[in-house]
Amino acid sequence: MSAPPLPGLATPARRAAILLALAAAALVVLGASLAIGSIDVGVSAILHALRGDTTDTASAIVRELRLPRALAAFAVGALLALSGALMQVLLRNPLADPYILGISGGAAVGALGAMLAGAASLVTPAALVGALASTGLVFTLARAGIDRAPWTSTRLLLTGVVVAAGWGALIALMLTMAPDARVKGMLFWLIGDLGGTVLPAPALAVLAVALAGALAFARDLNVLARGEHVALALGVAVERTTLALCALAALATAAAVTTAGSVGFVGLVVPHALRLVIGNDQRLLLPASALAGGALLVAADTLARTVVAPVQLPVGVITALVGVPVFLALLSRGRT
Amino acid sequence: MDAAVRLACRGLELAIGSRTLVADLDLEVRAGECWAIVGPNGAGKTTLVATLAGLRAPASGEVAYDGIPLAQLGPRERALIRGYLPQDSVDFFPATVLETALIGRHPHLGRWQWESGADIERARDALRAFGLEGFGARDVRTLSGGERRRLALAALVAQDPEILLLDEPSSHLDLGQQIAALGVVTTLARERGKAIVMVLHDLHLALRFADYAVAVGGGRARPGTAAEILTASTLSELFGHRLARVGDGTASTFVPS
Repeated sequence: MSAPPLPGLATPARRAAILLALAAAALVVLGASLAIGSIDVGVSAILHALRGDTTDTASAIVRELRLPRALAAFAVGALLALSGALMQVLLRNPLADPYILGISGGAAVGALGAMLAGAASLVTPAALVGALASTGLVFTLARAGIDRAPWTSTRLLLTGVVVAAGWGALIALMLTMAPDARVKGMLFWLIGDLGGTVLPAPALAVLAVALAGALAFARDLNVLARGEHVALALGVAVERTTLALCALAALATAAAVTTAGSVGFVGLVVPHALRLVIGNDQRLLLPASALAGGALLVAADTLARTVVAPVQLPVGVITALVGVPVFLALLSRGRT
Repeated sequence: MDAAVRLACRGLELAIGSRTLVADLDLEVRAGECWAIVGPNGAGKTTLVATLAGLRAPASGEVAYDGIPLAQLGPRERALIRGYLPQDSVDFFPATVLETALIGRHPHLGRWQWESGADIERARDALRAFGLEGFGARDVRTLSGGERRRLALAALVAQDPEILLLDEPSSHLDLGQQIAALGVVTTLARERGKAIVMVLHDLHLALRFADYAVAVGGGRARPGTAAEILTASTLSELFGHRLARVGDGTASTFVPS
């Protein structure tokens, strides 16, 4: 028995269809990213390689290089899109992105500092420390008013923008002082790159935690999207919820940035574009953003390593090249 | 009549910065009563109704719902008892009219629960009551100011609280819509025993719909029956301008003389 369609409300069947379609798209893109590259691998060879019952070079490439990289790309894209969707609602600003509170700047200062010191093994932990330090700094400063004012989205936003500008200055300083041999690696990190040694498990684990946590508050987010007063009046513990979800979004962003550097535009464009198509019900938008963001970054990374092969582009170049025109097109439709 | 006291405040003092807006207000609003808050701009009407809604803390004193002090009620428990209509609403994101009316059901649903058919029916009834049937699939950002106001009222009615606190419910509405919309709201008091407190700028609406009134101005708030408060002499003093009552019965108002 299916309920009759109701104008103005997505039926459960439609919601399921949207999520299934996005999951199918993600699977197709993941499959393609395993097949395409310096050596093209067929479908049956991929399946054999994934089952681990072949030992030839193609299987090794699929299992040891392409699969971890594709999974990492999926996790990073999903984390960024999820974090962007959360930030847009929490700051009541459809143009917010995961980096708006200065998280990527803090991570970049940590990562570039490690590169500058020549400590390659410390790049990832330093990025994580930088991301968390920046988040803590923004939340502390946003509240450090005359009367310990409560967190408001405007204060968080302004503090984040200013702190991000500060990180930007430090990044520019480090790039200027870096020896030429190190600058390319630093630039790749800043643009966002999945070419390095990639371990997808931590990012995938954070994705599972962040998505579950965000979904538990999805209806509260629907209410928060209508403003703090409306949310307070309808029984949402606004300050506590905002703080918890900002922390969750920061964790997601930190995991993404630590894995791949600051890949741009996924976190801004994916939730924004999806919202125009499927509406702003967070119970649907959050999982849909994660699936679409993941699929998009897998596709972008596959392009990045094949389009001008053997040269590998940083994936952030592709997302920016795709993201800028898409975003301008969305803006010109006048429905932001 | 001896209906239950739904909303009460004792020794309520409201201040913004160092300015006292209201000193020592005692108020009891019973089930089935309609109260109007009247007064000049900046007197503290919005502050008073937001404090009664528990959205801001008073400088001193206490607000209670059904005899329970607000301090003992969590945000969700409060939302099940009282509804609040803010003066203005801003739409940051796209949403359909039906989704927006359904927001009122939020406190009634568990964390993982979706709106049931009964919730949807309630929201649609509320939209119908405010003349918004057939608007369900419209994007809220395409509505006129008056339509958005009626939608916000519909969401409040869908919430179905026992205490309704409304900040200028008639703003953006034309004369006909004002009478129709406030008619719907006050019928909830007359027929279903809801307790209603609304900030009203239009004195003709206060005269028509309110049983009781609170005059806010000059650093104090004076509650009383409509007959006591909504008089030419009290209001002339309150607004700092000589007012005269014109018309008769429900169709009357005050005009500057």
